[in-house]
Amino acid sequence: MIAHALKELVRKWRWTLVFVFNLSFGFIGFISLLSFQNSIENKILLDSKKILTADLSISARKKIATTEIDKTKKIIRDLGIKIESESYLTEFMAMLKTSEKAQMVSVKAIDANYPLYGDLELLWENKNYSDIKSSFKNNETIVYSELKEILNLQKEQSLMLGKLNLSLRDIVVKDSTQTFKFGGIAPKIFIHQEALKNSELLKFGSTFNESYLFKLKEPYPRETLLKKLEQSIPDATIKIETAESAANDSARQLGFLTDFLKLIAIISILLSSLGANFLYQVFIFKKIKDYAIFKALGLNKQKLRAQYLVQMITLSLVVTAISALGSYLFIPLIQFFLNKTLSIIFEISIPNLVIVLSFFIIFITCFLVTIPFLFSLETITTAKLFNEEKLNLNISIRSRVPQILSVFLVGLLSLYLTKSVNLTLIFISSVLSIAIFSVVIGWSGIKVLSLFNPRFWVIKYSLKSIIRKKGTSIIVFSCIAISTMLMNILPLVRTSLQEEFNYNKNEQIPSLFLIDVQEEQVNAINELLQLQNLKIDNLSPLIRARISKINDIPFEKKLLKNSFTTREEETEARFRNRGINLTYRHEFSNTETLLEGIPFTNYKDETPGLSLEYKYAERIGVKLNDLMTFDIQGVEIKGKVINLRKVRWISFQPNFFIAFDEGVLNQAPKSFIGTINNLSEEKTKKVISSLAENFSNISIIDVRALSKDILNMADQMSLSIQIMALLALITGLIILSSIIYIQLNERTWELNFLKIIGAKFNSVYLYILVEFAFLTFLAALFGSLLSYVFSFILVKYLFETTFVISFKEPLFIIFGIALISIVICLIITRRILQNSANKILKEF
Amino acid sequence: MSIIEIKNLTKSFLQGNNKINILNELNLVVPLASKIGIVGQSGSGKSTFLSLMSGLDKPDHGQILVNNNDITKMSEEALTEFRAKNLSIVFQQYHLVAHLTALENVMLPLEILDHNLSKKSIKDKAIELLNEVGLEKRLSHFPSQLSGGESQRVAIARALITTPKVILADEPSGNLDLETGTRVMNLFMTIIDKYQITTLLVTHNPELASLCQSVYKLNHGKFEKIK
Repeated sequence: MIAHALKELVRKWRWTLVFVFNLSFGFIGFISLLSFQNSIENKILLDSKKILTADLSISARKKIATTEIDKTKKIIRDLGIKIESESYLTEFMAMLKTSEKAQMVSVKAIDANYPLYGDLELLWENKNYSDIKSSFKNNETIVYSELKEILNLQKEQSLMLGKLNLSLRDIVVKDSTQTFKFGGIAPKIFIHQEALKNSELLKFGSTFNESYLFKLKEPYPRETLLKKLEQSIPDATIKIETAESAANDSARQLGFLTDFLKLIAIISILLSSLGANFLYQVFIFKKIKDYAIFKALGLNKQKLRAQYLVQMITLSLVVTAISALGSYLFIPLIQFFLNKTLSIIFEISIPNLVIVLSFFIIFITCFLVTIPFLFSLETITTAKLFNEEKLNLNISIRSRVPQILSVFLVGLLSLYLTKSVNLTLIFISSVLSIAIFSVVIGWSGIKVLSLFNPRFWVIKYSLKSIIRKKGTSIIVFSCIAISTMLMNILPLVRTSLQEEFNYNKNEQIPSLFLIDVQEEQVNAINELLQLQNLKIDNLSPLIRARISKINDIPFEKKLLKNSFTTREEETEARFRNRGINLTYRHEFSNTETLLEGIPFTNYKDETPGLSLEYKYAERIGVKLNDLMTFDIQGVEIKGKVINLRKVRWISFQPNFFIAFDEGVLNQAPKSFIGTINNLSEEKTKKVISSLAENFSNISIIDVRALSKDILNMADQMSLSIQIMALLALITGLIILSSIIYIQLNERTWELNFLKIIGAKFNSVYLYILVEFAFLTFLAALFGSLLSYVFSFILVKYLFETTFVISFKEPLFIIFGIALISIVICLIITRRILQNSANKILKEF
Repeated sequence: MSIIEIKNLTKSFLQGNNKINILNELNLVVPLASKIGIVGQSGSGKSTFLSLMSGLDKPDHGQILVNNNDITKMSEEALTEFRAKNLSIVFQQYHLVAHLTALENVMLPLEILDHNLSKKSIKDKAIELLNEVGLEKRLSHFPSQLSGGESQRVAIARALITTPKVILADEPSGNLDLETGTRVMNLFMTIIDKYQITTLLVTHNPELASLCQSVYKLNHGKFEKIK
């Protein structure tokens, strides 16, 4: 039995080959991505202590009370854990100046024990920081390598940080805390904790982050420690991190890169499964007579099933092997591009678990593809099976149940990969609705076609072929439409995401963004700018606060208890667990749009009015008319949500999640943020220098340089995304080609017969072209239209950005698909027409 | 007056390393409007002969002149056109297009042919022929809904619709039971007589062949006139 099952696969090697390659292409992406994700997560976890530079960190964007630290130490000791060493770290943004230039940097003021784990690799001395730690003087600094180019830095160059005069000791070429090469909006510099005071940069109201780091003696109960600390430090603004939670955070930062890649992997799998389903249908129709013979010879149902099972297992094993082999070739390509983006060096290897998981998914795919047909065959009498021509293989709804279940399995897979309920819901509803929609549209299209009765026989019989072979036509139409849609979604989403970074030329993007401007500095800055005919625009107050209550219920730190948490839960917890920046303004800026509620100008109530950015409100679960209480430096201020607004963040204007109406916050301790517009590249540098010279505490972001960095970063990432998207596109095209190829081969007899009864060759070409090109073109067009709808949903609700309509790629894909179908039609029809009519007749 | 002239027709096949001459220097002259029966044992080369006659296969050498046109020299495309205008084939396996109705199957060859006939007259002619073969009530039935005898009658009607000069029939009753086969063949012969179409009938059934004016037996690649 096994021998026969295998022999059949070998004898029908053409079909087996197409089936195997079809599925393999889909799974190469899946295995590569899963291996990539697994490798990076393992590496991050392995390096988790180096990333946090400690076992435990207690940090906040404020001064942490010593009582909280004492409490922490007590809990550690009570659990019998020994603190091996401690470190204290202060981080903030500031301007680093040379005699000519200035650049905003992220300052890390470190003590003698830093880092408790990991190290910094230095350029000039070719050593690690720990090797020079003992000789690192109070007036020295080491800086990230980006600054070397930006500020043209030389060894021992004199640098100013606020009032602090620093000597450049070395350049950091590798920092174990960094997973990305892109260092954020400001490259880091390291100074001595003792020197910090001399800089006079941290004043009342300045933004900074303080961390207490602990190195603990292994082994220690991680979970219990974290749980106890979270219970006894309920302050939502204090962040408690262990090496593992920091590593998970770090891995999550890669989410935006891998989300899109995972989507592509699922699409590839779906495309190839679709193709496999189609191919299997052809296979089963061809072996109906064999099945009947076996049945007539007395082979029972169980043995027949076993035969199919053997074939499924064999096919799954071969597909898994080829996919794994393909992944070994594909992975170095992904690695090459990702290594340009990621700072951590890691080798991607394919874990055995991924291979086993892939085998099971492939087997389930084969199983789900086979079962409906097998069940249907089992319900038909042997006599009927022998009469193939008169056989109508009706797949009952009951037989389709496994395929319907497969949608949910894909859903589970999507949830497992993306950990996003939103993404999974969008994905599954899209797949289901498009499948139903395609069938309905295909069916209606056939109804419409049947109203036509063209005179020319070629068109008449082409249409009749589409109409009469309703089932096949709808399947071909749906397969092509779904493939086109899936292929189109990727470029459409990518265009919208890229467009997010491309400014509208007419829109005024600020040249400089000023942070931490003190109230008393505003006039002086304006005076300085006036000398150059400039001024601060969009000056907005910034008040640090913490949400203490919503509708008078304490707004507490959200603890994630389950090991499997969805992206949405994590996002909510993150938003809940951090302090926020408030502002006050009476009117909206031109980058804000009112979505719900009333503007401040129409609000007369006694409780101060609040305006919330709508997505932020959604995340923290706040609705219109809710009451929010904020803790501002120990003072509680209550406000009522009177409107929800949309913010165009990419405008780079000062924008806030929460804004109060003017009045209640006017006297609160605050700093200001603002912009300076319309500066040339050269003038930008001059303005940065003069501002940094005179107002050392102010951080200045060069928006042009920043956006360039972001775009570079996005370009590098989009390369890896494009490669994956290309894989999905190739999978789609292979499947399309197989569908058309198999369909045409099925028509060999018919085309040959037309030739026998005297149809001109051109007419036969036209006959098949009208049918297939028409069907393919319509399906591709319909698929493309649907791709706009689903891309719009994905862009708007998943990536939360504006959908940009692009016609280039969809048109390219539609015509590409039509062209491929025409070429395949012509090649196969030519082969049939040139072949001996007699030979073909004998084959059938 | 002859319509078909076969000169030195030879066709061989390779069986392993052995060359087998299935048709060996065949010669035959077929008069206009005559009915010629070709009989022979299985494997004697009857079907090969018919394939060569219909231009579905090429001989090793020799000539087949149909209406003074040597079809062995024609390209596939020219042959196709020639067939449309001059020849019709009735197959043992009926070879009806599955997704077309009986009426559409019959109409198809005439629609394919370049002509000035209106759609209505093609349809009328097809209906008339289907009436003639007794299928007036099965016009809109698909091949899967027809019995073997009915399918072959549709195939006969289809062969007649272009009013061909020659009909080549390959075991037309081979797939039918004796009674149905006899009924279908009698009908076939009656219609052929009515339209005065030259017919080459290949069969292994001597009784069926005896309905023809002349009968040749194909033996060792040569014709042997037995009637």
